[in-house]
Amino acid sequence: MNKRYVFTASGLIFVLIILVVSVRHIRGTASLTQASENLKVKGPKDAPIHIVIYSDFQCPACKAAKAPLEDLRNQFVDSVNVEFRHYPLQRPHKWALAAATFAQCAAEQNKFWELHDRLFENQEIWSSSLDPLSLFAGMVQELGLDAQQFESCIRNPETLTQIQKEYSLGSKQGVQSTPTIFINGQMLIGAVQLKEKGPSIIIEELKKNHKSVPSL
Amino acid sequence: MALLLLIMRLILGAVFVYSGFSKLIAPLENFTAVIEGYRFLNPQFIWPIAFFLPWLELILGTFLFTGFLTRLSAALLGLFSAVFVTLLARSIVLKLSITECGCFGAGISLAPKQALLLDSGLLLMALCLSIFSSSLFSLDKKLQK
Repeated sequence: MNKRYVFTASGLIFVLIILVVSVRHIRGTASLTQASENLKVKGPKDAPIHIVIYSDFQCPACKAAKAPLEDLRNQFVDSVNVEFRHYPLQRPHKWALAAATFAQCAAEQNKFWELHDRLFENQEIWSSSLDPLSLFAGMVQELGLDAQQFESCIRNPETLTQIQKEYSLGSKQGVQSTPTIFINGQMLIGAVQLKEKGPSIIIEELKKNHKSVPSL
Repeated sequence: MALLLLIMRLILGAVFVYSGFSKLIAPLENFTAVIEGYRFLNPQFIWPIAFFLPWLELILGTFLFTGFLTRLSAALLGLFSAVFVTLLARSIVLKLSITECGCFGAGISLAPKQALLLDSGLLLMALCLSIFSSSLFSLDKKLQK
């Protein structure tokens, strides 16, 4: 009887391993180089270290990741560029998509990072507001964006399509929560991992690329 | 009674199969981040648990679903459920910043309180199955012939 049990257990486990490996293989992972347009990139374009952050403006953990990401950029100023990609989690965050849309339209007028900073700085205020759209509009006005161009961008279905494209690209790359950060393809999740592992990953990548490592 | 136990066996098995599978097809970093969020483990233990736990959930869930080593599988899954219930209750009491339990990868999103309710139900089912077993349409029954 024992032999039959061992044989059955081994058979079932073998089938499960094959199944998981096959599904992983079929799903694959999308390439990180399939970047969106370059309006949401900060830092030298030809930097050896490319950081992609999938983020949601209404997510407190994304706000917490802003400072460590800035620290990394300041530490490795010539070696790092950061690309922002939208990943609005609409179920827990009612206004995430609206914020992403405003930010996407600010990007069209080269003011993405300015609005990005304001949205995160005031996250608690607009998240709990009854009318966050008017607060977004106020921020846009403060930044001096062309109102007509901005409004036509907001109404343009292409804006939403771009956000959805970035979201689905993130999902293909295995993003499940925000913020998810890729440093030259290496995945980190959340501000703590970014703070603890980010610098060592960058140093390793720089060494791999035979680039000089700044003293920290 | 036999039919009720069969239904419990299929539900409990299916939930763990889905839970393990959805974590296994996603990058490991997602589940390590979920475990980190519960703040109960020394960092050196997080990676091994993130690696092995989904496999155990998938294997034991399949065993239970097919009625193979039913009592043992149910007892082990009951143990997992008890641990999950404890961790979820702890996260609620300590007001940890966990908005999503991370139980099912990207598949199903549950708040800690919802997950606590689900896991308590699973724990009850696992207890029933480890006490009474379920031989209807089971591999155990076929193998004992």
